[in-house]
Amino acid sequence: MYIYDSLDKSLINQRVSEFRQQVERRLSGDLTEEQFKPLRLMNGLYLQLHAYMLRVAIPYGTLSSDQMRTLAHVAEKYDRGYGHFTTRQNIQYNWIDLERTPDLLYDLSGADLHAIQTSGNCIRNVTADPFAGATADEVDDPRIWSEIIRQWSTLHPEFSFLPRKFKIAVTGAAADRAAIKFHDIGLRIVRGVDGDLGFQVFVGGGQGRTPIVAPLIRPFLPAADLLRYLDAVLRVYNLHGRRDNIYKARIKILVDSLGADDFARQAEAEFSSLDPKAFEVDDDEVKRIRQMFALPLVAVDSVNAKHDSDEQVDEPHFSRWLSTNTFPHKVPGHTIASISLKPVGGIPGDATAVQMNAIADLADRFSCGEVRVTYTQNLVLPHVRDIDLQKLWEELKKNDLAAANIGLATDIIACPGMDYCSLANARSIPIAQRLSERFADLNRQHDIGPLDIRISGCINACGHHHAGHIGILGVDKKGEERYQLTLGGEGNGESAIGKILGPGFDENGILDAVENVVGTYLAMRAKDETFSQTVLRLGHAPFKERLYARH
Amino acid sequence: MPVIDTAGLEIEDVWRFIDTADVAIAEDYCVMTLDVFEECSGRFDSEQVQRRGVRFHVGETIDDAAPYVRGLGLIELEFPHFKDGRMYSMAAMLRRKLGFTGDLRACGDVLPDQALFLVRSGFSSIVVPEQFSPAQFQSSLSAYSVAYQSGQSGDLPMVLGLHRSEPSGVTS
Repeated sequence: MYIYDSLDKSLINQRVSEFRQQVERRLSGDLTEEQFKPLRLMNGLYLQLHAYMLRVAIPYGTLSSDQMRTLAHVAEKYDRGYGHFTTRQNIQYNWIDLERTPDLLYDLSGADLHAIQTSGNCIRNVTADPFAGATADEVDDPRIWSEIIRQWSTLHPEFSFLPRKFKIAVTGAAADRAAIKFHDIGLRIVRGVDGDLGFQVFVGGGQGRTPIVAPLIRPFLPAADLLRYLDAVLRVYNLHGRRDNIYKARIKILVDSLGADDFARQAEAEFSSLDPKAFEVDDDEVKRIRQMFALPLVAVDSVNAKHDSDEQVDEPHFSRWLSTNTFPHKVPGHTIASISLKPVGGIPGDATAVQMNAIADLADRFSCGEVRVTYTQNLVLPHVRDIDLQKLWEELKKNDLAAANIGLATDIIACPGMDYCSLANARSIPIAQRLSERFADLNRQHDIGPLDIRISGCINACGHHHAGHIGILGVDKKGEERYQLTLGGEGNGESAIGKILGPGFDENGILDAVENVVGTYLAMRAKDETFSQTVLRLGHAPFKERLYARH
Repeated sequence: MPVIDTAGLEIEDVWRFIDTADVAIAEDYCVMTLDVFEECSGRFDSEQVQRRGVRFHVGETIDDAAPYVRGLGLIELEFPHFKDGRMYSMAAMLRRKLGFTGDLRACGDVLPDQALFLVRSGFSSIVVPEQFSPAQFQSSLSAYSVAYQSGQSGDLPMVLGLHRSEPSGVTS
């Protein structure tokens, strides 16, 4: 993975010093809160309901074991012993004191971690396929290009005061495990007609109040032109994005109002006016970065490995975990292993410092010291040898990290909701917990099959409910928490936005409603048909009918 | 209000903002809005235009500016609010697309903490708002010795690709 050199480290250290001084000026009154706010936001520091919340960047969702230990250390020293992994592959701490934040950032910097641009109207953490570098289906490792974009976008002088936040996601495969079409810019690495490396560029996707699947703006962008094109798009956005209404300020609104063709033309015109040489990334530099992401593995004879693992697969729970939580690796004899942060009744995406330290040790033992964060709020050990899988599983079990539910009904995405967030209309965590308890039976979950439930506590949709097979949206109805159910979203691969099925429910009602919708699926599915396939085939009518039928 | 250069040092400000074309014609070192300059620009030779300046506001585009910037001594870009980042792009385009080499000055609502962003976007001077001091801007300018996107040394216009080196800053 990318190793910081003295330039990278200097930048983080200087940022820590700068922020320390800004906090002092805020505490002494030299800076008003209004003036301090954009500065602290650019360091990921939010003022929430109970305390400050700090969002630490995990660039393209990749962590070393030492970095994971540092995150655990921060949770213990500055917070209440836990952290929350987010839908943008970052981590959040909910109980931060403003006065201690400079020290916290200093501690992070020792492990090359930071909170730069994890909030504010600037370019945010670039997210990527969590299976990057390990999966057989990729054209190229998206983290190489994510790192290039990260550097280019960090403290970018022209693009630090945009109309609104700007989020970029990259996939290196045809499969989209990064939800690229729900981002301001989504990039898919492809090969051009001559076999040269390039990108499909999608611009103007997003969720929130106005969910939009991003249109394809540039079918093929040569890799050498990446930064030049991003520069052009950001400039068009910076100049023409709306600044009169924060709910209409994302680039998706601009692309939608101009139309994809007109936006593409404007971007292209700006792109053509820029000097290619000015934006070229040195070949040596690309090579330098690429080398750091080189696979740390040798192939293990797959025949022998298979033989070994056959002996171990007599434990039904282990084989169940294998079937849901592991994924094919490009190197024979290896596997990508998912760590579920969705235990029954647990808070999705949360991990205690104890768990984080355990995961760091497991990463060292079993995954070449590397961990990934998924946008679905789980973790991944990307490079596990097949022969180690059972031992890994046993260790995960000891730490309550072995829920065999990846992609199933209890693998719920939920935002922090009204328990933490000042923007929320309703609590989302208790809904996730109660749903998780209702669907706890693994046999039942396996019978249901892949089911993506996502919960947002308000229309800002940080829980990505629009893209859930079943989405739950918390709303405020005359001072009461109500929940709307959406159906037919898709966040993996084919992106789609769910539609509201009908009137909302109270807290108990929404739990019953989800069960009802699942019941309809089970009653009406064709053989081997998944939930989303059944919804696609039947449409919403039968679900709506059964959900709102008079008793 | 004091005016500082890219090192944060106070410089002499010889410019006066005026609002009619006849004053613009009569007086050296006056700066005016674009509409006033449009009225009288034809009256200035290449020497006189160096002693004239234009102050742009958000909403005025690079295409609006293009016919009028050649040889100007001063261009001011007024920030309506420190959160409004449009003038960073305007500055970058004035330098890179139109090749403007005169004094490019940031005025209006800017924070000391934005000083480096301003300089690295192409501004060569900054009007220090009343509630701040030049020292605060200067301190902010020295916050970073490294940058990911820096000008190639000695070069104008600024290039803003990925260029891992010490920043060269902008010279005016």
